[in-house]
Amino acid sequence: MKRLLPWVLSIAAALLFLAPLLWMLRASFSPETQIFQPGFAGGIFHGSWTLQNYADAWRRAALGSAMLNSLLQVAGIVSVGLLINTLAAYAFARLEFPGRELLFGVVVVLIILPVEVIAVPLFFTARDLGLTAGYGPAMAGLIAPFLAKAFNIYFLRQHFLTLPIELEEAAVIDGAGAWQQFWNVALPSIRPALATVVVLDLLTHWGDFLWPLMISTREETRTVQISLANLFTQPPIQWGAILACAVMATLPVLALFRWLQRYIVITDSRTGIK
Amino acid sequence: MAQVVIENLTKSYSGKTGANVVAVNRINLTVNDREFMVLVGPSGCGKSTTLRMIAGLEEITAGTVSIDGRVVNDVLPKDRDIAMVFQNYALYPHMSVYENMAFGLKLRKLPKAEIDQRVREAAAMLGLEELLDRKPKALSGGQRQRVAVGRAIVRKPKVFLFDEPLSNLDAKSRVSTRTEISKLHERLGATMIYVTHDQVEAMTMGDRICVMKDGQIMQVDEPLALYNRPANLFVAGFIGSPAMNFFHGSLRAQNGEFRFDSDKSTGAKIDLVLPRSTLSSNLQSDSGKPMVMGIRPENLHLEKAAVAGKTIEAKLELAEPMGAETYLHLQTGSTPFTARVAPTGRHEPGQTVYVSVDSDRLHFFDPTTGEALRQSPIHRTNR
Repeated sequence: MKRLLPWVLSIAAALLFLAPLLWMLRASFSPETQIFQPGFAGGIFHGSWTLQNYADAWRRAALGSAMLNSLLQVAGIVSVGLLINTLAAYAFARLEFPGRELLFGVVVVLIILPVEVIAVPLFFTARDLGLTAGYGPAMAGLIAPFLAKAFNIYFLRQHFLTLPIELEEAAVIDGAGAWQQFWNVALPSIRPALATVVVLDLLTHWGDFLWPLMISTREETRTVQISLANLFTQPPIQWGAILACAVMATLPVLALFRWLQRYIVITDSRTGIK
Repeated sequence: MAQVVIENLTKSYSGKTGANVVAVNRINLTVNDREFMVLVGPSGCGKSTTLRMIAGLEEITAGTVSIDGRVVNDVLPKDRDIAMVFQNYALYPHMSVYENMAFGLKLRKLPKAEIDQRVREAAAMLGLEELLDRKPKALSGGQRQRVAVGRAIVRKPKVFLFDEPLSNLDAKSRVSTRTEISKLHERLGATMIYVTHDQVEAMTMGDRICVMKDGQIMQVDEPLALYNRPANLFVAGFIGSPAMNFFHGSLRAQNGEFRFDSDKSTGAKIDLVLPRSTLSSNLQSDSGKPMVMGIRPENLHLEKAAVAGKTIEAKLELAEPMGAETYLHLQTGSTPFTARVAPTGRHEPGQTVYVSVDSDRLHFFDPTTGEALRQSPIHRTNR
């Protein structure tokens, strides 16, 4: 009994948190009239099922192009951002240059600055740079402000600092230059940290709303979250379609998280070291 | 293979308080071709810094390092033709054993077939064939260190540098890896420079040993020469385990013979008659001056009773049976000392014992400078 209790409690807690998601999933497959009937929540396996909501959502929200835009945005931020942030973090961790500590202090301060604070000046900068006009520039505008990220630089620097310097010294003796030390030795040694940064960035930017709303003024540059929000405001309001859109917006990020989860394992960077 | 010549090598840096700290102070050392040189000394003596300057991992403040006749001060580590084995192995965690060993060769853009041949040769030499596909995390400490050695071997360098490679191993692996490295030196016939703080490693592995302290070289010699003819108090006390015993006192000429009287302030009761033949004429002329007499623990012997002028009376503090021998921790006055005796008889703490000394195996040092006073003629014939 004693061993059973924690299980029961854990499952109960999980159900409590999963309930709204399960409701959303079930409602997305229900005819519009059925969703708000009394007792719908209790009859998850009763009632009729339909795929019409998904078809409506896909069409009305132009989800195909929105998904592609969101994927491009996230892929751009994650990949280019990873390169920029790891390079900056490595420089802060390993290179000695005048003003390093001061600069790093500035980076740390930037962590606490929310994007809402700088959104307006950022928008004017982007507009002046022509990043609001046309598909290509707007996509660049979606990506560019988030490439260098203070938290990622800080987080990755801390991980580089935990690497024994002997790893890079061994590489120096082996004939590696500065770039090879970074690329072939230091970077692969902090893979779990890289995976963490990728997952956090994916989750954050897939859910981005404010900045895409400001910068993507044309329909063809809308991201998933903007398209979803539009369903709330454009009559007729179809709750089934909204919920179906929400499910589809969640699926890619769930799949990516599931895929990347295996990389977030116990760090093995010190296993070549006593 | 190559000779390594160090001339007036100095390393200094600014400490936390801004003061200039000299880690290595104008040292001169020649490591001969195919020699196994051990740099030994306590923590902070500058041995690792010296090795790192040879490797090119540490900038040289002054002086020169030459490898094979070429000054390498401004040569990149990769172009010095050296390989280094680190204390913590420093294996690349994301690479297999094979990739770890091949990495340096790949960077040098060697043909794939040659890389494969070299890695497999080294793996066979070190018994790593079965482990080539494993990652470092799946290896034991001893295996990791063998991989680190393998990574050095495949490069076929002129000089091998070892920075306390056995420190992280357990006692058993340490002994076996020590033997392996010595055998490897025989087999490869390479010049090797090996840093350790363990004097047993130094004694058993080195062709010659360089003893360092406070950034300076105290003595460079063959292991037994260091043991038998230490140049100063530091070397005498550092090399040998248990350490050499020291007694402060002076020599006194009396009735055609010499006696060593312990310094009365230490409370030690030592009055030993030393045959004139065991003392060099120079030492005899130093009689009357304060000096430090050194006796190795194995040159002390238990006697059944006191013999005037021949034995030291002492109190037994502790007996440590080691199996093959027993260490007796003794005290005369306030001076502690150790005797290494046969593992026979019962020893009770607190009992009074009498020990005699091999008077032809004594060492004498200047108490002010710590330098060895000229040795006895017998010592010199024992070279």
